[in-house]
Amino acid sequence: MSFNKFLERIGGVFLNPKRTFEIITLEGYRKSETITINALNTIFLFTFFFRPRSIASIVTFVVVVGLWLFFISLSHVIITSIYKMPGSLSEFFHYITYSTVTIILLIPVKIFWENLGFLFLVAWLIWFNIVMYYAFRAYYRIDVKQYIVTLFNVVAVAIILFIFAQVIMVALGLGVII
Amino acid sequence: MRKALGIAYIIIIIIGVIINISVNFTRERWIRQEYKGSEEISEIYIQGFNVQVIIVKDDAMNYTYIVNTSFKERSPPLVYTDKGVLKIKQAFGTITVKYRGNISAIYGSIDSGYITIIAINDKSLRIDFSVNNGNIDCFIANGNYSVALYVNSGNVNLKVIDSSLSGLINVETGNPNVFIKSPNGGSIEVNIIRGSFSFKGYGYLSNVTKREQGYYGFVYSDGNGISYSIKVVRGNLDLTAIKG
Repeated sequence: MSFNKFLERIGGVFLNPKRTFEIITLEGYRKSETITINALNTIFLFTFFFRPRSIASIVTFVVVVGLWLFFISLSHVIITSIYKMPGSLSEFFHYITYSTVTIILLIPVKIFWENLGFLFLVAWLIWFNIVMYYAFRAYYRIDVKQYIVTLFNVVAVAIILFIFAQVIMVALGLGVII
Repeated sequence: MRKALGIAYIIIIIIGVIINISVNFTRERWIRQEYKGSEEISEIYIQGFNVQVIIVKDDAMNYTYIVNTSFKERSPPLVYTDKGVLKIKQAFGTITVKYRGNISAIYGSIDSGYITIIAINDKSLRIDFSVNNGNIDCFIANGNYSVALYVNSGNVNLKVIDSSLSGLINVETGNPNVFIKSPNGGSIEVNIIRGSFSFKGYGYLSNVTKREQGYYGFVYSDGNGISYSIKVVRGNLDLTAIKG
């Protein structure tokens, strides 16, 4: 697959994610595409969070990446176990990677963080979820209701784990997370 | 069109990285410039960060500030000095003040968050802090202090070691704690609307009275002489004398 095709796919995610993910399903993907997008996004995200002489900013970056991988993995487990949809996590990772090109909307979040940043963040979350839904749909063949249920399940598990971690931290006298 | 957008994505990401780095380092540089430490600095604004202020040298003529910041603080806190007086004002987040020396007063207020103040070896220091929603932790030792701590919703933890104190604790909703290990005299007035007051001291408690509904008074001493007279204007009381 040519580099032009790769660029067209990225553009396609912006213009028509539904059709683009179907094309990816039909034509297949290459690992180099996933690696390229993830590399670009990782550099962007690291600089987004990084602050000089701040270990907390690096920890935040690691936590965000960890949560993202956690989300993908748990979504895969939920869909394959509850909805009995076939699929492999590594294959799905290639699909979901394309949805992360929406990360460019975080640039105005950074610039306008003092003022309108929150609105851009909300807009990005909505856009990201719509694109992500088409990635889920193209790979697992689930509908929008199943996608929303999956999201709720992931959030519920995350909250339970958070509370669990909080209780352990308090029990050990390490304070609270928030 | 799709290809153009694909190219645009790569270009925008690269621009985004440059913007991120630019924004991060500009803010950092700005703070470093503001906090270079000079007697001429009278007013310092920090925008967009939590703040920790450490006053290393503070003879009222030459202030040196070391400021550790963390990201994600949107409301501007204010750090203000005026001839040996340190004032901190912040909308929300965390304020930690550590210092050595002899400035005459420290004032701080925060809407939502935590304030920590540690004062050691002060001949005379006034500490005046308020938090709308959150906690105040105050540790004072080896000196003479006048402390006024106000919390709307949250806790006040006051620890006094070898100091004389004139203290006022005002808590709307919360359970303030006071711990004293000190042979010096003083007084504390505690006012709680909803909650209970917990006192622990190395010494003796006497004259514990309940003069009227919601009013308690007692005297705490270390055995050598009368130390602190403490009255709880409102709220419940939990007293512990560790010896005596």
